[in-house]
Amino acid sequence: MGEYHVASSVEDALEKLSNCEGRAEIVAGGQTMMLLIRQGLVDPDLLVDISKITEIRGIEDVGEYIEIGAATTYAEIKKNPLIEKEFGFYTMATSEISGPQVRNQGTIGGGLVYGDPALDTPPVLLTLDAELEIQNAQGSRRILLEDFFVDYYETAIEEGEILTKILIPKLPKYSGGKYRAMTPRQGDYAIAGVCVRLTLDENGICIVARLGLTNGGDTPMRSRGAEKVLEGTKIEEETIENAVEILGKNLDLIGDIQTPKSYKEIVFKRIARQTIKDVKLELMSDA
Amino acid sequence: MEGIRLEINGKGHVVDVSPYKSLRDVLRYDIGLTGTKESCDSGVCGVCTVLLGDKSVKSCLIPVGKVVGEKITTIEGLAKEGEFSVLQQSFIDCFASQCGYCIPGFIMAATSLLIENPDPTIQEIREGLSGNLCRCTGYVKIIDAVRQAAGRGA
Ligand SMILES: Cc1cc2nc3c(=O)[nH]c(=O)nc-3n(C[C@H](O)[C@H](O)[C@H](O)COP(=O)(O)OP(=O)(O)OC[C@H]3O[C@@H](n4cnc5c(N)ncnc54)[C@H](O)[C@@H]3O)c2cc1C
Ligand code: FES
Ligand code: FES
Repeated sequence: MGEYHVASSVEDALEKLSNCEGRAEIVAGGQTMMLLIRQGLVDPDLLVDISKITEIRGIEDVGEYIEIGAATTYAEIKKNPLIEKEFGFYTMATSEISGPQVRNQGTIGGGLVYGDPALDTPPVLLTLDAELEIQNAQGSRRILLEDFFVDYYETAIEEGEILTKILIPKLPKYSGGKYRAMTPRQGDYAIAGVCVRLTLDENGICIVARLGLTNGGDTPMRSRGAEKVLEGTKIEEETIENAVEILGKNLDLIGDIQTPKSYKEIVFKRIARQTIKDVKLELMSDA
Repeated sequence: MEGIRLEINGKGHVVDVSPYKSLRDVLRYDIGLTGTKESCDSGVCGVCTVLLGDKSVKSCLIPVGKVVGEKITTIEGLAKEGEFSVLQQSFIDCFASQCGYCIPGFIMAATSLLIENPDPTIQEIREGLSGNLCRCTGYVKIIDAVRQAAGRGA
């Protein structure tokens, strides 16, 4: 019978992981792990539960960054005033995740390490240029979130490592964003999702554009081509059309009977177009 | 193996099962509390909703090893001294149930919602219940029932 260990600290968790002779797995909220076990995709000898480690749970303002512990739940993120004030669109995107029960358990870290391209918030964190802190027996390392997603359900985390922190740089002034997803019903997984974050200068010229995509390809991803088109411009209609065209070319979609590739591409372009316009408008009216 | 200690509806239990077994299956098959239902097995339908402390969770997605030391409340724990909770009574009064299979899950989700937000708007109720599915009622009377209970204590 497999063992279950509720870790009291990161150190304790790392030690248990490295001392296990069989297969050890980390569990945070368990919202993905329980399904993997039930489907027989993983069959651990030891589960190390990191959800009660206080040092990796919670949200803090550390000056340049907002720091989120990897074991912080979606529910805690959704109602956190610091996050709402700094990145309101991240709060809004968190509301798109399933329903309250999954948000009460699911953690930001679990959603990132799993590397699922269908999740709503990893692309939002991409648009925020988030960084990660990872701990292992030797110490800790930092990595940019965009370098973390390697391939389909594959991330840069190694065996025996724990994702401990997500660091989000505070946004410069004249910044704003929005996440928009198309879902069959409230709380369902998105067929397509686009997060747009823009930063303008005082003349209304776009200095930073970020477009993060849910279900746009094998990993949570950015459309760098579209970002380049928008940067350095005043984001006029024609620029938006060019950006949306390039975004369409960046997609690496899998179609199915209900939602063929051609349909998904139309949805992506439509929500990208609308979301870029919305963010620009919001920024112009704030200025 | 010493067994896993659980606190369910204020009462202590010890079960001798794998810590990876779902809380839902332990409740139903080891403890005999069958008010917590089973259906999708994948966190989608919400019929297995219970409370950990004040928070609703889907018990099919909780390995039982995770909830040692937590206060677990199931639908069987809501009535006090033979009196239904306010929410249970308003589900009856509003005819919110048809086949009834989804209802324990809805009542647990709504109980958690009203603890966090005692006077929710219709939109907040919809969002609060978005993790639960009902194949019969069309949701209108379920939302009425929660609205009626709101402000009167969960
Ligand atoms: C019914 C349902 C609906 C959902 N709907 C949505 C939706 O609409 N939108 C959406 O975005 N998501 C949705 N999700 C997915 C949800 O976001 C993920 O299941 C959740 O984020 C996983 O987090 P967790 O803490 O439960 O991870 P776990 O299941 O505990 O872990 C997931 C994986 O990450 C590893 N892991 C976890 N934490 C760490 C860490 N700190 N360091 C190293 N490895 C770690 C585990 O070993 C495991 O491999 C849904 C899930 C369910 C069950
Ligand atoms: S059986 Fe748990 S959500 Fe459906
Ligand atoms: S009353 Fe039948 S499923 Fe809801």
